[in-house]
Amino acid sequence: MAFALIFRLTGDKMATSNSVNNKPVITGTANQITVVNAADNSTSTISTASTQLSTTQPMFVSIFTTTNSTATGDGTAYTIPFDTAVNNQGSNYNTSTGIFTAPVTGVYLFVTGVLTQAGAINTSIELDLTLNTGRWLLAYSTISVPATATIMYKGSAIIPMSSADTAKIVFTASGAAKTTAVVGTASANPDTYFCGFLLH
Amino acid sequence: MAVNNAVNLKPVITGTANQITVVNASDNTTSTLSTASTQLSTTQPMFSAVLTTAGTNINATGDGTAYTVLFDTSLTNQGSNYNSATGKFTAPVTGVYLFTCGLTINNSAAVTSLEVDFTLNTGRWAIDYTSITIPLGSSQLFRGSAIIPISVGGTANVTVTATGASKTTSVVENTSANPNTYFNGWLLH
Repeated sequence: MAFALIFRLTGDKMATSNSVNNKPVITGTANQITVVNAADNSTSTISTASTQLSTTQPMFVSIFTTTNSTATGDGTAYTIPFDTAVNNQGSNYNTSTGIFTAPVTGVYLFVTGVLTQAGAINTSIELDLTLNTGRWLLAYSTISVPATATIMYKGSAIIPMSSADTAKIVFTASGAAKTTAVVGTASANPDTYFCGFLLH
Repeated sequence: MAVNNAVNLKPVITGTANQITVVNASDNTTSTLSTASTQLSTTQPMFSAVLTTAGTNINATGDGTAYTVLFDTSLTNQGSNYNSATGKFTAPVTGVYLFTCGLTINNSAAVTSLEVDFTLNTGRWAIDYTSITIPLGSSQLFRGSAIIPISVGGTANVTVTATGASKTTSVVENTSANPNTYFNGWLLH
């Protein structure tokens, strides 16, 4: 088989016969091997580069750019619409809804940071990574937050998800009027953000 | 040909329509390269464990006790390197690991300081810390993440230490679908 592999690298003739046999076609250039799917011609490469990058592995980095000064405070569970995706490989994150949808069953890593400003005294706060199947608690406190206090909440988690499962960030502040803000800033200087990627 | 390769200690390469499989000539373990746009490994070490059952986590600290959290339910434990009975992860190879954790803490008495650590066999990383007195009756989530080089056989677990009160500080469990307290790790590659 090792000889066969070398042979495949040398010409298209062997590649064609592999395709006929419904086996992947192996081609290459000076610094990489490319495997061509015999069924649909999609490709995957093994590079000899010292850094390995994927242009297809699902990931996203999205930023909340416009402050919502009436997001919560009265117990409203506010789903943060991180509106500006600076990366959205695979297009699995929706900037309108703030929802990430898992393209395949796998284990995902999520990171979020949320800057808030209490309009009045909030008696409790909660930041959740809310799934269609439940929720992971990322930040929680029953210690009163003073009026006008600006506080950053954040968290990260590694979560197994099934294909088509969804994830979003929900912030809830309670005990006052709906005057607690989630702070948005320009995408070059994020205060409030949501990132995720598929572990391999 | 496969037999010849094995004799010469070269890997055997086979395949299907959308992947090639490399077979280790020594022990027949396999590794695959798929043409799929998403790449998944069924062997790379990772774990995601949550605290779901009330036990030693109730009244665990408050008096200076360094309590090791026993995350009892593994949602995933690829490679079986996390031990839910001891709360300890053991590195299967020398490498760089990413860990995250979140701990919901109830204080029945006011504590004067609280510390959460990733405790290694070689030392500890402080993950969260406060010396501002935490009011009695309050509930708060402490959390953190770190990327840590660990040698093969090295261990990591989560400990929480609250001081200044009686032993009435608890770590809060919840259902595995709605975790309040969790510990995750993954071998970077």
